[in-house]
This record gives sequence, C-alpha cells and structure tokens, in this order.
Amino acid sequence: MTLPTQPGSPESVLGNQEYLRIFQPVLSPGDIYEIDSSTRAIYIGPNSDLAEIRLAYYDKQSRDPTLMTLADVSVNGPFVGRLDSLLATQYQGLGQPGRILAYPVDIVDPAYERPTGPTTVPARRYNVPAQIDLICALKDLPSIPEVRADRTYRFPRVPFNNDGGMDDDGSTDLVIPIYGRRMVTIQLITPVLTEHETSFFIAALQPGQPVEPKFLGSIVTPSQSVTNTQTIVYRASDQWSSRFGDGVTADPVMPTYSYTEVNQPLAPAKGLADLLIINIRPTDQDPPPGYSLVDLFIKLSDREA
Amino acid sequence: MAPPLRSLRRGLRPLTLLPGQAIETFADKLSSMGGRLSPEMARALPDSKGGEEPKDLQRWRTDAYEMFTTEIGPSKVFYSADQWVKIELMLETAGPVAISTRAEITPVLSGRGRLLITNIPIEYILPKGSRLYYAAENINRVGVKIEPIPWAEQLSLEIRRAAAALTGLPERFVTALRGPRKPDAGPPPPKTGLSSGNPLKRLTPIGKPGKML
Repeated sequence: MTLPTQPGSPESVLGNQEYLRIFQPVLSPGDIYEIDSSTRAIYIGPNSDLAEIRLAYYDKQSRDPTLMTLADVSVNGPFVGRLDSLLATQYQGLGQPGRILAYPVDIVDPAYERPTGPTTVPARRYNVPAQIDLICALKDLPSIPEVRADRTYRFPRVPFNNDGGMDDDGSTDLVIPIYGRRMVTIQLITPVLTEHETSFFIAALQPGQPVEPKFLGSIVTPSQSVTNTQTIVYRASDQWSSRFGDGVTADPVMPTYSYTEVNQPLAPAKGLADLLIINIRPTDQDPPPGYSLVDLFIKLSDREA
Repeated sequence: MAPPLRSLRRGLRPLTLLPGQAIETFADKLSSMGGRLSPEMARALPDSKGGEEPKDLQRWRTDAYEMFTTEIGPSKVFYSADQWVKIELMLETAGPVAISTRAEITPVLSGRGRLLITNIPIEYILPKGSRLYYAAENINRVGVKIEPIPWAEQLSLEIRRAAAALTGLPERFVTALRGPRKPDAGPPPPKTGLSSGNPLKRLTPIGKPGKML
C-alpha cells in the first residue's frame, strides 16, 4: 500500500509561497494530512471533490494541555483567522507536537461497488478517485470564494459489452465523486447499431456498510444507424411531484419495473449525494458481437443554473 | 596644569552651529581641557585598529534579506549589532514568532517577547553591542531590513565625551584652586602584626604540660 504523499509545509514557506496547498487523490477514508505551518485561513480549494474537511489542532485557549479542538471547513464555510501549528508544544502525556491535522469529513470509498443481483453484475467498473484540495493561506488573507470551480470530466470511448456474460450483464459502471455538487450536466453520445440503456444513480455513503444507490432514471436508446447525443441535467432541487419512469431491480426475474409518483405529501427532491453512478447496459435482443463505445461529457457545478 | 578660568570662559562661545557639530565642538573643547572617558566607555567605542575615525563607519550599507525561523523551540540569536542600526522586521507568514532583546522569551505565546504580526512591519533601533533574539513554533519567513546609523554612534560618542568632561570639570576647578596635588606617599604602615613591633598576646600561655595520671 502506498501512503499518501503531501507537500510539506516548510517547503511552501521556504519557497516563498503565499499559501500551502494539499492537492492529491484521497486513498482511503482514514487519510490524515499534517500541516506544519500556521495559517491565516483554511478553505476548500477550487479543484476539490470533497466538500467538507475537519481540522484538529492544539487549542491554547482551552487551558487543557490534552485537548484537541475540532473545526469543520466546508465549501461555503472557511476557517478564517490565525490557526497555529505549534510544533514546539506537545500534548501532555502524549509527546505529540501540536500541529494541525486535517482529514475528510466526507466518506471516501475509492472502490465503491453498486450492490446488484447475481445476474446484473457489471462487467466493468471505473471509479474516478476523489481529490482533496485544501488551501492554507500563509500570508495575506484572501478573498475566499464560497464555491468550487466547475469540474469537467471527458470519458471518450467508454466500452460496454453488447451482450451479457456468464457472471455479468455486460454493462459498465462509472462511479464519479460529486460531494455536495448541486448540478450535473451529462452529454451522452451513443453508439450505432446497439440498443442499450443508460441508468443514473446517486449514492450517499454511510460508514461501514454497502449503500444502495438511489435510482434517478434511465434512457433506453434503440439501435440506430447514426450516432445520437442525449443531454441529461440533474439538479439537487429537482422535484418529483409527478413522474413516470422505469427502474431497475436486483431481481433477475423482473429486472425493470415501471413507476409513477404523484402528489406525495413531501415533495421529494433528488438532493445532494456523494457519488454519481452511470450504468450503461446492453438491451439488444439480437446483439452484435463484441462491444460498443459511448462518449461521455460530464460537468459538475456547485450552483444550479 | 589646570586651565585658567578666564580662558575657560573664552572657550565656551555661544553654540551657533548645527547640533551635531556643536556637540562635537563642545566635546572637543571640554576633552581638550582634561575630560577623559572611563575604560567601559572606551571599550564601547568603535574599533580603531587601522586608525580610522567613527565617521569612517558611514561606509556601512543597508542590508535587506529574508530570514527563516528554521530553529524552533528555544530562543535563538537573530541579530547581533556591531554598531547602531535601525532594524525593520515584517512577518510574511502566519507565525507565531516572538522577538526581544532578552533571551528568555519562550514559550512563544507567553508574552515575554514581542509577537510579530503578519504584514505589519515593526522597527527597532539597536544600540551597539545589543542582540536581538527570536523564538518560533514553526518555520516562518521574516523580511529583514537593516540600516546603519553611524551618526547615532558618533552622537553617542560625543555625548559621552561631553559627559565625561563635565564630570571631570569640578575636579579640575578644585585642582586649579588648591594647586597641584602632592605625590602619594604610599600606603600607611600596618598597626598590628609582627612587623609593627606590637605583637599580639596569646590568650593561653605556653607552659610545660603536667604529668599524666
């Protein structure tokens, strides 16, 4: 196992930088990042997939030499003020220096696998690693944006089998971190001569257990002689006051079902989630041999438009 | 030989020159009349190995650089002034960094030293021979600008000369009134001891011991 590497705080100071930036993939939910320099503000950087990070530091105000104080930093809630990393001060009884520690509040599962039935197991699964981008202002107190930069993924030529195999249904799962993103725009360029269904799920992770994702909907694309571009927009505040659609199940006898939602007592919304899962599944009754390719363009945004 | 009072009055003309030149003239006049510096003051003067005068020290140049507080924990010497300087410090990171002319300034946040504040320059005038210490909890970057103040050293020198001359002035007056002092006759002879002819008496007389039983 490779431990996460991070830029050292002293290098940023000695290199005359005005900020320290921790920007790297998160390898596990237990990743802890050490900050050896005091900061004037800590905030989520523009390229972060994580939306919330927790700080633990030695608190001089508490008068308790064993107390580690916690503070959460989110996209719209930066920590503004001097936060000391006290390397020459030690926690009483522990001998550990009073440096600043940072770790994700969001649950990170780099190998998330969507629970499925025995015959609906995807043949392929791609997990896009979540990135942490944490910025510590060393000198000037900056004007902190309370929004992350839009994140664009381009996945050209994503393969899926034209027919199911012995242990799978030939589909492909694409798992994308969308921690706290409020809007997702997807451009789906479908292949020719292959009927397939593209399903969309969101998953809000829980600690220590597999999470059943929430099905948002699917698009069935018939076999065509020309490529087609379909656009899907998902907003967190989208209401489901009345909606018809087809869902997928884990039951091999009835893999899909139709549903209708009308006049629910609380207007359900799609809401925020941690992961977006896109499943591309072949549905051709007379499939051609081999595999087909899908082009995907996905844009994540912190604001709805 | 003591100067006559009339020539002393003639020598102290009204000071119509610039303050620095006036003090220098005044000090030269007084020192020519017998003012002397104490050994401590003399040691505080600039080195004169090559015979240079204090004015020659004006060739010192202004220095500016970045200082990194790489030594964390106990206080460290940051600058040792070999002449009068004006030093400007500006913390370019978040700190905490404390400075003081005293060495005992740890812990950094104890208030024993002056905490530097980010992006706010702080200026000190350090006399010759003084030291500046720092203490830090982590690695920080401090912008430093050091400007020599040679005129302060000259001014200090002239003021010390004048003060030394003024403190010696009453003695010169008394000498002028009483005449030259007689040469010392050496220390007086001791009044006790074997060499004084007055030996101490023993409290217990020395006698023959008695027969043991």
